[in-house]
Amino acid sequence: MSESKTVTQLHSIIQESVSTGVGSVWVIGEISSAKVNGNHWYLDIVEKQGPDQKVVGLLSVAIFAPQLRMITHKLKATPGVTIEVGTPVRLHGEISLYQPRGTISLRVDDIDVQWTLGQYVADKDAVLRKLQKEGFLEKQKRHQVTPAPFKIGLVTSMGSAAEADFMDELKRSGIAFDVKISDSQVQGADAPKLLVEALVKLARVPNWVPDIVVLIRGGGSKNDLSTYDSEILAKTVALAPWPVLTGIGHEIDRSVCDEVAHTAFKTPTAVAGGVIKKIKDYHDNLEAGIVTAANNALTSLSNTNYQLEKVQDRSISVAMALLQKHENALDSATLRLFSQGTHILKRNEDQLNLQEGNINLSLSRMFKDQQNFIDQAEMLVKASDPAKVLARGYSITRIDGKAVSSVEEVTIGQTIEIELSDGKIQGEVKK
Amino acid sequence: MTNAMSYNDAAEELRNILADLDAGKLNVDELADDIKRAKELIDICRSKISEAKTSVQVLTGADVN
Repeated sequence: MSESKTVTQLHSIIQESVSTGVGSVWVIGEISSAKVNGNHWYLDIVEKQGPDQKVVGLLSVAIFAPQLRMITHKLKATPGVTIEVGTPVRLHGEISLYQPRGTISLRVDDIDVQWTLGQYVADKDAVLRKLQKEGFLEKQKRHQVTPAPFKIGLVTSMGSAAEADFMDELKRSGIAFDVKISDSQVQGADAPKLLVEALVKLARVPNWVPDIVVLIRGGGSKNDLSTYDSEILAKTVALAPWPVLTGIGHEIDRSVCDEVAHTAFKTPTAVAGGVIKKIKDYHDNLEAGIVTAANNALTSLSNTNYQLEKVQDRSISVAMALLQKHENALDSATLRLFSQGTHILKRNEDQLNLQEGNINLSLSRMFKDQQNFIDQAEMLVKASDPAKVLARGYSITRIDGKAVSSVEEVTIGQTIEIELSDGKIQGEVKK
Repeated sequence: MTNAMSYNDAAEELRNILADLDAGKLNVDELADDIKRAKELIDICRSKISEAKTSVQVLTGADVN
């Protein structure tokens, strides 16, 4: 029977072999889990392969307090790299066997942050190249943002600083925006998938279509940003049925989502500012357009007025000349008429006077003739009046009231009445 | 009565009387009646002429005397 070894003896052999055979080593992998225990960090890093990024190897990593301080200092000096799930890391350390559990782990004493950064860039570049090749980079450009995008779909982590910054900026504008928030986790391995779901959720809001969708995230590490370098998220953004504006929250680098978005802003506040500016510009342009149109109209009116005034002046001159001409003609006609009228009137008056004179003359003659006739008749009547004959001594003899003109008419003894000028006497015929 | 007569009627009757007087056919009694009537007619005619003159003068202002 061959010699047996105890577990710890075997562990010692393994430890010796590993230490001798491997020694200090740089290992690359993606952090798949991270735990903090006191002042120590315990990570798992994995190697993925294939199109489905299947995990083909896993290594436990331990960062103990003394090394952790140095590594933390290094991470702080390199913004954009954090120790968290999904971070690709290049770690230095020694392989160690933890005997109580029989596990091998890498006891880390250094980290290559530049490698992580380079990896990010490399990954991002790879995605970008792919998206460009497949035509996704330009897809959002087909959308035209409405001049006044009041309806906003907001994809972010509800309650985050990003949301607060964005909403505060909108509120300060005084513009009545209609914002619907689609909540999503924005970091971690599942973040891309959740963000895609949040975008899809916005498309399913009944009876509401956003003018724009805003994808924002607060400032964070480079690793946080890698969520937005996700190919699936970038493709979803590119294919979204509305303009997608990003405010991923990084001052220097642009994420893949920024590249495929309709418009990329650096921060959530900047997105809000951009939207507000667009509306204000539209309003100002509208106002300016109205003012310009009004000015043009006024100028046009002024020109028209000037032309009208010219025409009016000319018309007035022509009219005045015409009026003057007519007035002169009228004066002349009036004068002629007056002259002729006066002449006619004078003639008629003369004729009337003449006729009046003739009438008066005729009347006088007529009255005189009649007067003469009456005077002559009176003279004749007076001359024929028996009273005058009687006055001259003649008398009228009557028998029984009848005048006697012959002696043959009387007989002796008859009573006769003799009328004299001053009375009557009676007598008797004697012979 | 007599004023109701027109001037022409009065003048015509007067002319007839004058014609009778000229003819000398009237006896003393008829003559006296005719003379009396003629005087009345003369008064009527004078009155009518006077009225007409006054009217003409009022209406035309012309002196027709």
